[in-house]
Amino acid sequence: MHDAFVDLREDLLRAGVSPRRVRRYLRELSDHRADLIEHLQAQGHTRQQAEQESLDRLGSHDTLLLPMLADSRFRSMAARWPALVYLGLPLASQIMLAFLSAAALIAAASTPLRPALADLGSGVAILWLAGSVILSWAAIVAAHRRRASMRWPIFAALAVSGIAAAMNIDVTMPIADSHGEIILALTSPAPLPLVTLAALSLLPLLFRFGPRPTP
Amino acid sequence: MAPAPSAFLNGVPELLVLRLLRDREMYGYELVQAIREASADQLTFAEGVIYPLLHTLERDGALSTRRQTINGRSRVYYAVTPTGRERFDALSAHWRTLTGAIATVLEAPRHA
Repeated sequence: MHDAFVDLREDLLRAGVSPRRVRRYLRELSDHRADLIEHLQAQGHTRQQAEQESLDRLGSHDTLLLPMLADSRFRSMAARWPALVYLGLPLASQIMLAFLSAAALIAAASTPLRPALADLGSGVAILWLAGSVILSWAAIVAAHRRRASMRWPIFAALAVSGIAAAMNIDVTMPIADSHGEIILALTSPAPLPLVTLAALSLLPLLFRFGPRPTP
Repeated sequence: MAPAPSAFLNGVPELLVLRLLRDREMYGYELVQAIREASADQLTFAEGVIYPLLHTLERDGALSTRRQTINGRSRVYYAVTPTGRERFDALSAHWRTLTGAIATVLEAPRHA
């Protein structure tokens, strides 16, 4: 039943209406249409007549589209502030992930996990790399769902990959009288990890999450 | 000649929706049928536009919703909130003033 409203869905999403609002609107329209078809068939219409009549009674594409666009409160946050949502949010999340995991590592130094601190440090480094890829994919998928431009998610993927490749964590275990060290540093990223990470982050664009052609 | 089917006039749909939902909660299709019935089919409009209006009123706090699945269809039932009742009273008073004023104009003797 949703097939009857495919164009409407695409136009609503492209106009920035939140996906949840669009889903609910289309579900209500579809159920309304199903009720109308049942009612018209009970009145003696054929299935085909009832389907056509139900569409006529619901209203034309523009009649159903424009009232939803008239209320700006139906627009998603991502449509209002795309740079913030698709770029700012992944960047902030990556930075927060770095600080939280470093803090967790420092906290672990005063627990029974202390002997495994070097391994935990390696785990944190892997977490940063994996986190950057996941955040990039999330931004791309979110933009795809909203039929938004891929410009900001691509910037985000590159920026987040750059930060992840530049971040270094070094754990030195205490030896005899000398203290151990946990060093968190930003260094110039090595080209190979940077390119690999950026390519991985942008991978969804090669598949079904790429930009959709405008009809 | 009979007048053309009325367009869904500004302010009128809101008034009708709030009035009908004041009596009992309804889902969209039910509400459209109730409007047709209550107006003896004089108020016809593209039925799908009821939903943006319902969503707007819900967003304004004038309506509340609850979902119920019936025969595999997930119905969204709409009900008037206290804010909606206040809004209906204000709209209704405004509408009465307006129709009174129009009636006065229509009934006034024409001057040359």
